[in-house]
Amino acid sequence: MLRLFTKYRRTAALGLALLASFLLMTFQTRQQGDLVLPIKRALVASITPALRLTNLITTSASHLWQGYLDLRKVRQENLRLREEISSLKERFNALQESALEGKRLRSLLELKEETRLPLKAARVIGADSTNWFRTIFINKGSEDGIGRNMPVLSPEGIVGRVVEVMPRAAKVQLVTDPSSSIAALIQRSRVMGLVTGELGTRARMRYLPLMAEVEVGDRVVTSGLGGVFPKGIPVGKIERVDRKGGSFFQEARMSLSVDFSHLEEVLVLTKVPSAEVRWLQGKEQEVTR
Amino acid sequence: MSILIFPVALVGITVLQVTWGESFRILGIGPDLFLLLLFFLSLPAEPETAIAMGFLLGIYQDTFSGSPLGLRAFSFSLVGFLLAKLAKELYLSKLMTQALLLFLAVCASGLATLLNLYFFRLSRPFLETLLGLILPEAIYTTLAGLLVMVILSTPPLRKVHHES
Repeated sequence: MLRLFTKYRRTAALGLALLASFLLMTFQTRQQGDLVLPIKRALVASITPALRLTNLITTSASHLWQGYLDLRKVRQENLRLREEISSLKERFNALQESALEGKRLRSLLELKEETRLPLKAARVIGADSTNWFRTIFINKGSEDGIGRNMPVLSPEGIVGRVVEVMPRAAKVQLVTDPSSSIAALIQRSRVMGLVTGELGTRARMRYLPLMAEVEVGDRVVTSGLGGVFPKGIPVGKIERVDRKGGSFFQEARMSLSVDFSHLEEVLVLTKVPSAEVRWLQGKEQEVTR
Repeated sequence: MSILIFPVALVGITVLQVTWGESFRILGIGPDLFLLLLFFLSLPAEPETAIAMGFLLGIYQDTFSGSPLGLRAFSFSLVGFLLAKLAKELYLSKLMTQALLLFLAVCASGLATLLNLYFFRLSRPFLETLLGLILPEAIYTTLAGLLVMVILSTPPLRKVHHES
């Protein structure tokens, strides 16, 4: 028996690994994710300290590097000016950084106050590790009252929804993820459709009736159907309308309100209101960075 | 390989991909650093070790992605096994041969992932995914791999061949 195992150990190892992977995928796709969740939590917990440490080190290193660069520039001038300018530049950089941060946070606060929604602010701490999906990690989890399927917003509009919750972190599926679909409507003509992600910076609005009025530049907002996202949150704008012959529906390519490459802070909606959300006028154009 | 190197490399690559992965992306596509690490570790390893490393790297990549747990673990176990097996049977000391093998490994991993997505009804359009994701990812990862090989000036197999 032992000889047999030794002889076929490679095949057995491969078979075991493939079977384990296959079973894990089966559990999750058959809605039995609870069985896999403890494994995921343990894996995330094993990396989270390293992630937090890296975040801390990179922030400090970036400040140090900025200081070093400033110092090199000023070295060409005389010693007195170098010291003076260096200190002023460092201070200026720090102030500029906090001013920008303050501006971003103020816009989040404005949104929270004006929409009167139960929102929780969170910081983006990581991005998806593959090219196949579009998710981000935020620094708030179940200990902060974050739950599965909670909508995630930014002052510009919809960001995505929480798909997994750990005690001190959560995974957010972005609108650009191909598996994401959001019930939405065209604000001008009230035509309903489904917005699905396209991996890049754009999305597609599908299932628009063939005779429906859809024009380039039309603003798209959430329709509130589906129960996850409240009605009236900006999603994006129509960029191109595709009418294919023989199809019952027309499709539209759209640009999204949120710039996902510069996402640093987000807001998690902890309770979905039943009434339509009155979004800040023109806020989705005003990208605050 | 020391038993300590793998966990350190695993944590390092996960932190690197999750923290800075976004800044390596060109037109939405970035190099698959997990697969790159698997490539470098699998070539000098025994097939069963490569399978275990592939499984662990894949499962960590799945954890920090929107994919179901096991999706990349499946393809990485398979690719790790094939890489270790091929390294024993083919003459792979040249840099370009190894680059070609890396390119094929990324393509194989992508196709295995796509096949699994089809099986679990999470399908993507085949041609669009092949041309828009798998091939660009393979090219980018191969270039990144070549850069690492040039910087280290030691293709992962050179040492093994000298010893044998």
